[in-house]
Amino acid sequence: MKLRTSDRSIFLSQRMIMKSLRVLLPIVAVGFLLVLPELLHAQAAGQPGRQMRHFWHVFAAYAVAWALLFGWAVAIARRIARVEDRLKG
Amino acid sequence: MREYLGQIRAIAAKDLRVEFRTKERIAAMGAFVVLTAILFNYAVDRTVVHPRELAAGMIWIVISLAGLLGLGRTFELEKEDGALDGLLVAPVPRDALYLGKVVANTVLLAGVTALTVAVFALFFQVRLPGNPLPLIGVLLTGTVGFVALGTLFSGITAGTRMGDTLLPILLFPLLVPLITFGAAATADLLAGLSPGESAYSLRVLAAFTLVALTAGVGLFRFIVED
Amino acid sequence: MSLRTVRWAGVVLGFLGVALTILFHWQVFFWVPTEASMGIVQRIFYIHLPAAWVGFFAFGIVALCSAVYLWLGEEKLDHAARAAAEGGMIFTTIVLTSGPLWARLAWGTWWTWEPRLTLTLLLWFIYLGYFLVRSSTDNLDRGRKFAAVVGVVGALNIPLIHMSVYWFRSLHPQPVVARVDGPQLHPDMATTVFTALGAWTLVFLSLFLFRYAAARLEAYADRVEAARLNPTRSATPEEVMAP
Repeated sequence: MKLRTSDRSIFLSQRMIMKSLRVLLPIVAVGFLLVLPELLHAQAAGQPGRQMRHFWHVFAAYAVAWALLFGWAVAIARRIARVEDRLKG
Repeated sequence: MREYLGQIRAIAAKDLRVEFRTKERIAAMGAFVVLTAILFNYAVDRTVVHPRELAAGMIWIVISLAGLLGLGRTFELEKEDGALDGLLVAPVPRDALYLGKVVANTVLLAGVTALTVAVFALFFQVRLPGNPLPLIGVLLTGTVGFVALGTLFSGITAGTRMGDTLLPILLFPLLVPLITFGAAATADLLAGLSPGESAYSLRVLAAFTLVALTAGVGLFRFIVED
Repeated sequence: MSLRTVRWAGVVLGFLGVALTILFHWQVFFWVPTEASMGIVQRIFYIHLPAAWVGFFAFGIVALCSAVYLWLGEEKLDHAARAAAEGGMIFTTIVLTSGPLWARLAWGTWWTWEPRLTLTLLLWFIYLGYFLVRSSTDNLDRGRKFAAVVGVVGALNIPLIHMSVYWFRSLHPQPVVARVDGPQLHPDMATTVFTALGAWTLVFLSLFLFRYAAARLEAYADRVEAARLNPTRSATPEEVMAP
């Protein structure tokens, strides 16, 4: 009952996750820089200081959510990579 | 049915006899209650708030904490020298074993509850209602519910490395209904409102107790079998 | 369900989930109108509500799998319950961090005893107990049973806890809060939140399936290693039950 290579390739391997993180994180950062003026513009009525505070709260909430979900995905990928090594060796 | 009740009684009698001889748990819980009340006296500024106003909530908090102290040791005796295995080979269904433990714990905790109320009445001039039956009903229903959950979970924590320290983490989130409605009904009764006012709280308390007992009877077998 | 199917389902759901996630992020930051009274900070709503929904959904899976596990004693069900509990913990943590960040600017306070937020906090602690019980038990099989009991009892109590937190709130009236999820929700906002709901349900299901597959593979690797160490006792590595 050995695992076939084709089966294993379906998994998001650890390396794949890391690679995608390296690509995704700059996209996310650039995305937020693009979003910033848009968000500030959207609330023209408020004072500037208050807007920045709003922005930071939104950013923190989304960043925590992304970090947690990415963290979970990476943890699972590592777990699978580890068990595959065990089955190979 | 008769036999089943007899088995429950035998288990409960065994635990109570041990407790009656050693007086370990009841002494610990009783001292805890009185000492907490003394500390409470110094923790509250009487010029700002009268302890009577906080009595209902405090009574329930004290009962929960004292109960935790006693319930954590429900299976202490059985953990030593493989006594639990001895108890498990006895021709007694697991749920009867659980119910026997619940009965013994309820007797103990009912005593502690009575002591708590007495201490609060004595130390903080909490006026008890003229007709004590509704108050006794609320306190007893809550106590049974607390014991039902606590006995089940202390069976779990007895099998873990963390032991008693794990018990409040498992138990307290689930005690929210008990504290909410128990304290509300107690506050109403202590304030001299008619028992009809707290009928809803009492019903929810009864539901809580019923759920806890059912869960305990149904699930206890899974935590003792190997 | 074979592990192969599980993995394929995980991949497909994952791709759909990521696509919808990108879509709802675009909607949140570029498309949806800003809420009039609360301002930009209301955009937290679009992750807060879906995370809460997924958290509750996950706890439902935990309770169901735990109950059936106790009934049938099938190891796979415990793997599923545990995978769902991990996800539930992640998503309730998202709820509990995004909630205060939103509340601080919308209502002026980090924490309110808002019933659903309180319920989520209690749920988080029930999950915590679920994992602590498992990790502090030496016997693997007992730990599973303990955890399953905690999962079932926790779920049985949820309706009563739910009643308490709502009743408590009606007893102690809170300052009137803007209800963004009321019937006056702008249609674009509703579209956005439903997209987000779908996205994170799919992301959760995908990761849940991968986590479940990992648990099954680990159990399989344990069996293989046990057979390698002691081939005569039960089965040769080749004969060990497939994952």
